[in-house]
Amino acid sequence: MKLLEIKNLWVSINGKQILKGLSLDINAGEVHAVMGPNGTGKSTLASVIAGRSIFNIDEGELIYKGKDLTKLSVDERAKEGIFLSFQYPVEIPGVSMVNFMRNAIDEKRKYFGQDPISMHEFINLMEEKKRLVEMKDTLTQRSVNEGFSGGEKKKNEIFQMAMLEPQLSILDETDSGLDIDALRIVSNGVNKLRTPDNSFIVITHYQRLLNYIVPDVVHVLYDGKIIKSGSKELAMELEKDGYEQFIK
Amino acid sequence: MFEINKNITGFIEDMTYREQPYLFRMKRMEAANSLRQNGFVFQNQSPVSVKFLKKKFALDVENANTDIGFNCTLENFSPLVYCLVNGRNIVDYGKSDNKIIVENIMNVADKVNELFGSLCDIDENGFYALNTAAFTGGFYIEVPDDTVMELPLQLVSVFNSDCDSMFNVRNLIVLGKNSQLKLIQCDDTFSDHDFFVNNLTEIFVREDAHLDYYKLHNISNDSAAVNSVFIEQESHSVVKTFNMELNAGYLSGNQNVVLGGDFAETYAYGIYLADREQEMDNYVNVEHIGTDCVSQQIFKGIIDDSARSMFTGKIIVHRDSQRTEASQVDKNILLTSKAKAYAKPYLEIYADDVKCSHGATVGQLDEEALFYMQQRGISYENARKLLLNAFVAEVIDKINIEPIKMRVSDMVKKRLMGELTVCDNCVLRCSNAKRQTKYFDNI
Repeated sequence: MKLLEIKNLWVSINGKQILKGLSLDINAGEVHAVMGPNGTGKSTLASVIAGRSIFNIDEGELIYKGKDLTKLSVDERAKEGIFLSFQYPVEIPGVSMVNFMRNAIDEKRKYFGQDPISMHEFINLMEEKKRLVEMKDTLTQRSVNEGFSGGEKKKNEIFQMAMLEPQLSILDETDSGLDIDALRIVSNGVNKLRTPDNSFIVITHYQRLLNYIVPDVVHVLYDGKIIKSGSKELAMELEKDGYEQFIK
Repeated sequence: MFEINKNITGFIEDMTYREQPYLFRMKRMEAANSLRQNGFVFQNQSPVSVKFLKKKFALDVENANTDIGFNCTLENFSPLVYCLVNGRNIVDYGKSDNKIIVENIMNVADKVNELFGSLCDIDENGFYALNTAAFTGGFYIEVPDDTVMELPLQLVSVFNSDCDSMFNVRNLIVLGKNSQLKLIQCDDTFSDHDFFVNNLTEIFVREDAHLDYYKLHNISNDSAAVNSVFIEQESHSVVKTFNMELNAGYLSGNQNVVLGGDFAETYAYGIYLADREQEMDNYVNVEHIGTDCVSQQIFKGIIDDSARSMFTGKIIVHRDSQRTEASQVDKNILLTSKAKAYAKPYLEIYADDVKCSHGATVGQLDEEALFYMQQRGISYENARKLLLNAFVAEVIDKINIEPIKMRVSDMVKKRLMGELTVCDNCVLRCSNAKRQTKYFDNI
């Protein structure tokens, strides 16, 4: 079953063309890695799927679970199961992690006509998901990402992902700035969340992450288009010989 | 020079001729002279403040009903309560405490002889002169030496009139050596008419005394209030002030603190939420005279629609005030392109061994944070509210009377959602909503 279909997507910002006819199909249960040099549109792709309004969709279609994604607001997309793990998670002083997560979960439940989560249930859920990413107890008592180290911020992204149980997760350079231990923890977290229904888009520069999160398909994004797709061995090839071999 | 309207001038003349203690007559005449000679001088002569001053107000509202039922429904909160009706008569609600003295200032001229008017310079600001010339009453509070007040003291000014009215209320508070007091002051209006309230409070904090002073301002959009507070602190005294400016057509807070003794500490916290055409000004002046003193100012404002705010924060450190620590922060969020916030830090430092800092920001809500929250499934409206609440939380968290913290936080939330802060049966319920008849059962 197709979870996400992107057809001939053209995206610009302030008149500058970033994506130039990108097409991508993702089936339920698949992990897709998107690789490519800096400035080729990887993060733009992630932002556009999440619904960031500064980007202009000039042409093409975004279809998620058979629905036109562009008709949904950012929070509606999130409620429908799209999750973006930010490359640079935002600090929100004064908003506690607990308050933040509870609002997110309750809004989603309300969207599907369910009652708010009970405090008891919520605490249990937090405890369970914290263990998944080996997160320190004190972190959830603090304001969102405030004073977190780089590694803690990335763990927090995966923690939130686990709490919200999305169907399509986009990891935007989640591995950047992570040491090997943090990388292992984050990857383990992601692997435990893999189910036959959930799909992932893993954006990365390096093949290393893909040793831990093994992709079904690897894409090379260059100049706003996917120029090559292949199996996980493609990532090895890229690591060894670079991107130039595919650029005509 | 700004001319105040004729009926105010007439009332001032009238007040000096009334029968009263010699002290008050002399003070009134001095103030009336100052107004005649200097005109009506004040810092921020903005169009909004001038608009209110030009309104026609009745000044002589004598026959107020003193039986106004008052019942504060803050849970787990039972302070000592005194009501001042129309700036004239004090009503206490049977829970008086013989440890402290609460009197109408009009009756204690002999006690305040040395203190009255000693902290404010009437030539500096027209509102000080106007208050001194035209005050009709107010609280005199005395906490004797070594007295610790377990219960907070709540002073409620109730205004009730059948026409637009101006009130000049004069308070004087003395905290004896090593005494402690938590003071809550609220103004409440009991009619749909417009009011101009000009409060002036002088506070003397003796050695080792502790004062927490809460001021809640929540009056109607067509009403204005000027609250001038003067605090003199002796050594080792600690004062915390909380200025909660939730609603008013025009609001001006003047706070002047003199740290006269050594090792004294003063903390001035404030929140101001202005929308529509409202204007909220704060002027804070902390003067370090003693050595080893600490002062901190934290003010946060959220300005919506075409409202305007101005924060002027002064820190003056005298030459011999070594080892002073003084800080000042004023942060503002503007919600529209028409909203305006002015932040003016003034620091004058003459001593060498000091730590001073100041910071002022005027900005919008963090777009990145909004997007981040929406991406987690939180709607734009809800995300915005969470961010605004978080912005003022830094100040609210400093409130150390739990029921008041809860109530203020609740009022701020409601205010940010555009709901009136009407809470049934509570005196903090001070916006211009239609009064319920049960409040007038006693008439």
